[in-house]
Amino acid sequence: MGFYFAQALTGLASASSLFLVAAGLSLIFGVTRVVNFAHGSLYMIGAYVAMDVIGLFGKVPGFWLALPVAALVSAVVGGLIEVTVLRRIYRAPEMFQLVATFAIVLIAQDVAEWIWGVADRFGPRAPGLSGVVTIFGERIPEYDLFLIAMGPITLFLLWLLFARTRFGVLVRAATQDREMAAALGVDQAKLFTAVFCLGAGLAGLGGAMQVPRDAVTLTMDLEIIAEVFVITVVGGMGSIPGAYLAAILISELNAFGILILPEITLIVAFAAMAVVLVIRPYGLLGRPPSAPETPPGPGIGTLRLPAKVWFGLLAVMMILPFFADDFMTVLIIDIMILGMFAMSLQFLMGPGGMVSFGHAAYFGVGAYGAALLVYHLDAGMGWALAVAPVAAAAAALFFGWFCVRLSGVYLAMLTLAAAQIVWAAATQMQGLTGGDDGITGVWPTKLFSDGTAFYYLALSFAVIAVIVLRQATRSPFGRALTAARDAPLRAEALGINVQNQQWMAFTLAGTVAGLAGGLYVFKKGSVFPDVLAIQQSVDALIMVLLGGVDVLAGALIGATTFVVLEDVFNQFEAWRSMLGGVILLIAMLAPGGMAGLGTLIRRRKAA
Amino acid sequence: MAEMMLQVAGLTAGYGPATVLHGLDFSLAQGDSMALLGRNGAGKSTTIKAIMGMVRREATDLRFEGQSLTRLPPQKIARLGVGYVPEERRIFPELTVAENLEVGRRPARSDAPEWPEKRLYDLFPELHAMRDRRAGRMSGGEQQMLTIARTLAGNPRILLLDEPAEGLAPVVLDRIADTVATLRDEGLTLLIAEQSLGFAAEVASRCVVLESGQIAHEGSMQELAADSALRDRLLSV
Ligand SMILES: Nc1ncnc2c1ncn2[C@@H]1O[C@H](COP(=O)(O)OP(=O)(O)O)[C@@H](O)[C@H]1O
Ligand SMILES: [Mg+2]
Repeated sequence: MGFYFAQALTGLASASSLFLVAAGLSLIFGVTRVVNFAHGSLYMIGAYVAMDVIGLFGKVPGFWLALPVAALVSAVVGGLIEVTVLRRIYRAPEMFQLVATFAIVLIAQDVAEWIWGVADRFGPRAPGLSGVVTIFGERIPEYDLFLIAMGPITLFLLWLLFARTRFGVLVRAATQDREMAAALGVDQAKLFTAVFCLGAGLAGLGGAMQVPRDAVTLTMDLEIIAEVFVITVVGGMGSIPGAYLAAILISELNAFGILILPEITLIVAFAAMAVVLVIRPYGLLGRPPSAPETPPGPGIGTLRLPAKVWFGLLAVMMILPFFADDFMTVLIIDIMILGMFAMSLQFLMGPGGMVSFGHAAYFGVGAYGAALLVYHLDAGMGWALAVAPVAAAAAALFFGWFCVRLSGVYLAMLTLAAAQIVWAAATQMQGLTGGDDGITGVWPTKLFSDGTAFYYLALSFAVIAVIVLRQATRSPFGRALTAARDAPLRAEALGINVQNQQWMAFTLAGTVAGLAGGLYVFKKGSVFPDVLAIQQSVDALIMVLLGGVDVLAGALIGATTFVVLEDVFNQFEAWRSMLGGVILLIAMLAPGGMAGLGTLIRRRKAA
Repeated sequence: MAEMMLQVAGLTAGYGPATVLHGLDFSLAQGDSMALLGRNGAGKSTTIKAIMGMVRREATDLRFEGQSLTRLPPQKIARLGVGYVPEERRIFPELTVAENLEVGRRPARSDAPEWPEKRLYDLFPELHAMRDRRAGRMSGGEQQMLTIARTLAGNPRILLLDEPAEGLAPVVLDRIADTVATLRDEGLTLLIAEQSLGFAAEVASRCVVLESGQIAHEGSMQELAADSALRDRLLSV
């Protein structure tokens, strides 16, 4: 009895920080409609700033000073981000917003490393609250009780702010009808900046509050963001009380789930999220989003590479190994593998109209599927490559069933959560997957151990992928999919089962990604949980963004650019920021990607 | 000619690639009340939104009290004293009546009558009784009163009303018409979009009739009300 009570309190204490961060994210989304990936970075900055303040002023009064200072610094950084970047992309499609805020994550990581170094830091216990109290015979840390109180206190203060001040009224008005608020003289720009500062400040405070409990690390930004996404989706995007309920729900499930399934606690959170979303698609206290002001509308879409060009490309690729050196061959194999991965995502996002933030799940399941088969069952490369897409298809079939029930950012966040589950499984199920040490020694059979032979193998797989995805896009299935994307209600009325079509598309995209993943293992000879990480999913998004989401070939252009950029930037220490900078530039200047840029230029000329 | 309060010349506007208005010219002097008439889809709402800066637009001249509006965003235009009462009311449904008024509130200005809360509630006593009710829970007529009151709370110098009579019961309609007439008598400049004569005939002295985004007729309201053949040609459906 006492033990379960203590466990419940631990859950409540964990919920507080999560709630603050999630409330900030939800608040920003509610007003600006932007899902801020960089929210985790603001949390991380808060934690580091708190450490600095404690270092500067000592534990007393440093710790208590650290909380407001961290909130303030994060708020200022958030304000800067809003003014310099977000303000320019409020009207851009969701994908650009997500990718642009992810670019900020990359830049923030480099800056944080530069300022604070790579070593993990451990904060002191909170002065005055470092003891324990005994309740029901269990020893409960005093600081936990402080955290537990912070949740409702923050909730109440936010409620006061939104219910009782002019600022709050204006924010709520802008959440409901931005355009009308502006027509009444409300300065949205200022309001948005203020909301962003507030949300960022909450994240910073959340980070500072975690300092006595957890290590401060450079990876805490992405670690928290997945969990916070789950919480905002479960609570309902834009709902602050929803965020509180969901933070408690998820934290309690974690606290007790760890007793039942110690290896894969995230699965419990995901299961809860799946159940909630199936019953209440917009979360516990969320509302269906009001119709978007500018309907997404069909993209450039009509731009298609004619078969001639594809054949020309194929011919060039066929003879390339005769001219390229080893280094080039390897680079091009990389491009083909990542190109397949990116094309599968393009198919999902372009014709399918579904933005996935967790496409790495299927790439990774393919990779792990192949590697596990070789490692545990000593299977040959042929079997492994056959199993990779099948395993990925199964995973996509499973997760897709949940995902296609949602749309827009909800869908994107659910895909991300799904990928985090698989990632967590791969890192935590050490007996099977080797955990962080991964699986090594997965080499191709003799026939393909030669670079050129492997090149042709990859090329033939890439050709299959192009044919399958291109045909799928042009088939009646692809047309139904596009119709469902552009006008879901009309498509339903025409007798198209939208969810089924999307489910099939999701599965097909997953299958192709799995095939790419299988090849990837044999190219590398090993697999690590990285292939399932957020970074890998975002890499694919960046490739699609670089090349343009509207054409299949865009994914190949994007993959090529990405691999080359990475190769060039890798020589610099700050390569992540450089990549982030390029992404930001593209998101702000050429929302059609490079393939779209061509169309844009042609249109300009025509006009 | 005296400086006009609202000067519109060569106004074109549209949505995305489609152009809906093709070069409108009209103007209102201080204290004028003008009806903007036309069948459904003629471009009345677009004209008003174009003045407010809510749609893509171009104009050879678009000025309010001498200040060019062509480069200003909606909130700046509103702050100059241009009051917009939208079609379909667009109250903030989750906000209470009092909160809706709060959103519209702007600082008092020397060149326009001031509308403190009390005066708004005097104008629409119904709203006072419901001040803490969520606006989404009110009837259509009450919501119409609220949108007008909400815009008045900004102490505007001109009121752009988009089909304020739409979908209202006759009693409520009379009530709104009386109120708008009072506002006119107090010297507020009015531009009222309507499909038929009903409401506008009682309030406006001049009219502009739109047809497919162009001005098809311009004249006094009396003249249009008297000439049923002209009315049939321009407005009947
Ligand atoms: N949001 C919009 N997007 C595209 N076209 C629109 C939009 N709103 C109105 N239109 C078109 O503009 C024209 C004029 O519309 P509107 O100004 O609303 O007319 P009115 O108010 O006179 O009924 C119509 O042909 C209508 O279809
Ligand atoms: Mg209209």
